[in-house]
Amino acid sequence: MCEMLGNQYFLARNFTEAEKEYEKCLAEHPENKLIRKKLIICHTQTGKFNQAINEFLYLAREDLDFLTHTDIVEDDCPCAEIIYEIEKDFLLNIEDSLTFTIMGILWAYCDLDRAYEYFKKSLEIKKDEKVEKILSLINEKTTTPNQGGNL
Amino acid sequence: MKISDKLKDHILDSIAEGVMTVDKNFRIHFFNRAAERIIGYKREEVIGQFCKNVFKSGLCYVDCPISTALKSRKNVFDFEANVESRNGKTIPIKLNAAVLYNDDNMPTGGIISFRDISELEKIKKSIEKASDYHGIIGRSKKMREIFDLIEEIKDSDASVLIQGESGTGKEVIADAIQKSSGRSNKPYIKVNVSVFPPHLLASELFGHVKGAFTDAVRDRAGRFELADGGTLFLDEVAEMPLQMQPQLLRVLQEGTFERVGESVTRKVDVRVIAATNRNVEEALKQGVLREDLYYRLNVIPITIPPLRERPEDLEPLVRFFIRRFSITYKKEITDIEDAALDILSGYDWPGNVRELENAIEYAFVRSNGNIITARKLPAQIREKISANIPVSKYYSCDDEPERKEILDVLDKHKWNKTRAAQELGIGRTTLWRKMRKLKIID
Repeated sequence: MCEMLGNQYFLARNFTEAEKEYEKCLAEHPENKLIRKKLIICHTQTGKFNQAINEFLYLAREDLDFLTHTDIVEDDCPCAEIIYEIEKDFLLNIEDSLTFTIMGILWAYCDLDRAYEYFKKSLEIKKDEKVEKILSLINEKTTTPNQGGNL
Repeated sequence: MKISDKLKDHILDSIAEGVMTVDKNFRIHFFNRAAERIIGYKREEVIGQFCKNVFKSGLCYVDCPISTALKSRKNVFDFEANVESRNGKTIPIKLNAAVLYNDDNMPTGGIISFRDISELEKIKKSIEKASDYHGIIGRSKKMREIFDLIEEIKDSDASVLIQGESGTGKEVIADAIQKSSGRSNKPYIKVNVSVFPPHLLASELFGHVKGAFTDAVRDRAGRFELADGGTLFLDEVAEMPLQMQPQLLRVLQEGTFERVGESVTRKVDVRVIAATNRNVEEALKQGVLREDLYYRLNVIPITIPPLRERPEDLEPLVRFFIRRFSITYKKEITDIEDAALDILSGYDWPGNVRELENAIEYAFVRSNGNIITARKLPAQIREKISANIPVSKYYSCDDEPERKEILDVLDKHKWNKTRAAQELGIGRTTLWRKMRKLKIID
């Protein structure tokens, strides 16, 4: 039940409630990549940034293609709306490494190049092992063939 | 007999209600012909789409009915919502929603059946416009006082106890209270306490958990939980078994209760409107209704007078029902003859407004012309009213000057009561009442 309910909350952009349901589901089914992919987005919206980074890294190691191949319209991915809101709030003057990292995570769903830029900017401000690892995974990816994925 | 998928599709395509099913990602995987007609999209255009992108209803973000069914483990019935058609038009619908489960009792999707209620909404609006107060007709002083009271209490969540004989309109008064309150956009749940056997009433009101009793195959939310944040109308509250009344009292006082078979205390915020046609004093004396419960419910008492005590409302009610039935039955009946109105005015109406409505509907269905005649009224009403024969228009006695004045005016207008009433400056039903009181007629 938690997956279906989580899906409805996610579609309704109620990330707080979606996060609760998805966490329950993931505890029972840690192999479910789709839930993890959506949970990352929920964490970015509920302020659980470290968890967002951890889950992103976990899924990027497991299947980066699955993470990054998202059709914004077809899959009803909220990343574009969220990115727009963040950029509007910061008036593009983002100065802290964490925000750059989160932006990198959100861009990764549909534009790996933009994501790469944000992760790099994050590292320019502050060294972070996890962000370095993410960059290295992206670098590896750009030398291997693409595969499909969805949200 | 196993029915093939193709046959199932044919069956679903043949019904007038729109039917849509979604998978657990809320993508549409079935959309019948009626749904196509109502929403304006062909099924090929919507299969695989998220339902929220097809229906474009605010409900999808706030109160998705499938999500409600999922959380409550109870199907949703007769839920009203607005959706947007393909051409951008807002369509009011009434829907039922349920969750689809697999053999392991895991949800796999949902189903919504719905119908377009635009026509019904037009009728409702037209009727409401023609009424005096939220769909209620009442020009008598007593009814006006009730409307004023409802206006005064509209910002309050205090419990209301509506008393009145059967058929006086307790439910419509409850509806008016809810519509004018601050909870008008919140859930509004109605329960008639008397229809449930005592052993099922607790489950109905407070819910139950799986295994609480023989047929309790899954957890179920009760009416109090479904009404959380909103209003609960308890009709025939005095019929509640005595042993259940303390539970109701507790919810009213503290907002807490337990589902049947569970020890977890739940809290709700529900405004209660109760109604009874019992004589409350008798019920208290007989010990059928607890005094503490009565005082808790009776914070705001409303007593609806029987129809016979407000004769000035009779003719407006008759005309209101004629207007309503002319829309419902699409019949051009717009008036009622004086003789019919006389009969209706002379009847006692033990069944009150409900009986009057039934009588008008009966006459409506039977009438062919554009006017309701006395002959078309129900026989039991016609037979109970004696012939309208004046005792004597030359009756001479030392009676009140009023009697003489009325007789003179009636005489002048050849006993046409409508014209006589107009000259006297009173309503027809008031004239009728005075004629009976002054023994001008039996």
